[in-house]
Amino acid sequence: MSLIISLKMPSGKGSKLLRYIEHRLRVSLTDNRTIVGTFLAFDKHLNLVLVDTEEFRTLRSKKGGGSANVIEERMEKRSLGLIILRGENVVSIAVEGPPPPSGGRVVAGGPGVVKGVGRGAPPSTTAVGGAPMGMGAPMGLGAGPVHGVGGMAPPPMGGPPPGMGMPPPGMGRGF
Amino acid sequence: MSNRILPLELIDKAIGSPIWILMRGQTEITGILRGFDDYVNLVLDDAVEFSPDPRDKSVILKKELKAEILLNGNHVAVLVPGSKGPDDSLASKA
Repeated sequence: MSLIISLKMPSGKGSKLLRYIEHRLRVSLTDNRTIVGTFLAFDKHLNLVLVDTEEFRTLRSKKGGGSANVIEERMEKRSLGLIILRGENVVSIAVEGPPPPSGGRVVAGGPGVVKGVGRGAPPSTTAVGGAPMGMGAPMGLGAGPVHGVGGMAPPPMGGPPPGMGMPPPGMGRGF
Repeated sequence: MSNRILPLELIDKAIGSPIWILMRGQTEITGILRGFDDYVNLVLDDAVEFSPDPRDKSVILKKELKAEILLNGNHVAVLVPGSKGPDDSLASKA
């Protein structure tokens, strides 16, 4: 295990982050945005893949002119679902909570995957195992894009059951 | 061989489908993703830009660019594959 990690992430930063895969993370960005989502993947740039994502922005607007310097702060919240976050904009990452129960994550899958059927091993295995195939450039491009995107969501759903959802079991299952 | 899907592979899978880009700041762009590179420069078809009205920041202006565009990756903050933009049902304000 540690061998794989050290080959992949020479900095050692990887292993610390790997520990939090499947956890809920709160990520603050350079533009005063905060993103809260379930952490699925990252790369060396600290690009992150999050599902069930919610975005929080505080919008400040001056209210009332002249001497009355009232600044109204409005917290705006939106649901984004599955996102890729560019590492360039990441200021800090905090662990918001443990991996949510898989039922809670169904929403991010979008309209097509309402049912949490993926708890069983087979669908999960195919989904996780199938996805990395797209790594080879031609394969990735060849894969039907719409299906590809649709296919992304199931792995988290079918991922490790709550409680045992640590990286090692999940990774072991993928291969 | 990687155990997990890397972020850029996920973008790769979104090629050909709608994608919603949140830029640094408040500008947002949607379109059909045609391609991208390692810097996450993006080529989008039928791009639509959503940006706040400079006079009243609470008003969001929608501008259809009606062309294929190259979007510089420098200012890209968040990518939402499969989403058609802020009006998409999933992104409804809570």
